[in-house]
Amino acid sequence: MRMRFTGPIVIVVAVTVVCFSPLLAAQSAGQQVKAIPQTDKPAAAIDPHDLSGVWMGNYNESIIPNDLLTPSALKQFNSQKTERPVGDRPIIYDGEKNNTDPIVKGCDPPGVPRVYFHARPFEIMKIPGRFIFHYEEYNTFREIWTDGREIPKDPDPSWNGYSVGHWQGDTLVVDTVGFNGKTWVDNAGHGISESMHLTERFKRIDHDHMAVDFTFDDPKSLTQPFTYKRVYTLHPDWEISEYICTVEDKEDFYKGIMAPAGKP
Amino acid sequence: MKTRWAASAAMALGFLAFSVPLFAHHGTSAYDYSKTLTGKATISNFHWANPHCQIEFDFKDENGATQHWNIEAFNPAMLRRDGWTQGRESLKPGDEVTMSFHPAKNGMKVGILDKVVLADGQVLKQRAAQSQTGGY
Repeated sequence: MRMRFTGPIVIVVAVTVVCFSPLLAAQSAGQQVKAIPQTDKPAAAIDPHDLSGVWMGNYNESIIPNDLLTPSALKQFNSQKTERPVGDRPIIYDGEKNNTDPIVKGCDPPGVPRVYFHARPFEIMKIPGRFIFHYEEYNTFREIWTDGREIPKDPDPSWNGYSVGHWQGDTLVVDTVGFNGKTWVDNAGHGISESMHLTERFKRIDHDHMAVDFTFDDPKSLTQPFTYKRVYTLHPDWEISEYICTVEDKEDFYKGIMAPAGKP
Repeated sequence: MKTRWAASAAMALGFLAFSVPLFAHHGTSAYDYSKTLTGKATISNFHWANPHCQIEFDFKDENGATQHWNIEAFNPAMLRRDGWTQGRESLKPGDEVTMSFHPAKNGMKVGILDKVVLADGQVLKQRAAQSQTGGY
């Protein structure tokens, strides 16, 4: 017998899929960023080795697929407690008291590469022998040495690691080691171990866009290396603002908003 | 036949009206994005600071009763980029505005800004977060 409501159900499903498909696509970790919009404007000339300027990307919650985590890394991930919904983890609304996110519960720096995954810009500057990156996220500074030196064999552990870069054609390849293991790769809570070797590949696509590929090679956390690709947009009229974490600012926000919003 | 297809279209639209994507931010799983409260408000304080600005105001609900609310907005740098060119002077105590915001799920009088319309008609809003699970 033909179902009387087949037609209406098909319409509802089709409309829902069409409207929600961009969001569903955006939920998958390691997504390719959507295509750069085409315009009729003539392309401005660029020097592909010029990465200078203020760049902006999107916010991302989860970068690393859980099926690549080692057992200890998966256990560590599942034990985190944040106020953002992530998988089946419990959500806690009580502000900073029981939050395990290092940049929420205190003023720990987000470190590299997490600085890339907040919707805040960063500026790239070139001086002789190195690039300086200044991320608005917690006003994080970072040097990438391009004077030909090798990656250190025994670097002092640090929040941002020690970075060296060299050009392969028009791609700047940056190797970073020496992480202190106290930061998260992403905002979902995938941790970084001291064994992480991060490779970033920067390529200027056109005047307004730069592709950055991140390869995470962290034997203590990941069963195999994983590459995540993004595109950043140039904002020539933007300045990097001050964003310094202070206990007083956090407490003001906790008292005014997070504590009341977190009451059961 | 026509009635059935019209009913299908109505059903689809009705379904969508209640299926607003949750463009949530840092900590904003505590807010109810299916509700937007809009009404006349008088600003009592505008805290222009990191990590997030706070807007405190007296709000007339649909019954005409006055409620006191405190809501969060983005940090100063982001708001400036979204058109809040007056910075900390964008909202001053005593300003009469029309406030739109999403309230907390637990009934407490806190929430998150959707947009504010000033007395001169200027609209101040913030960009939607770009992730469904939150953060900005």
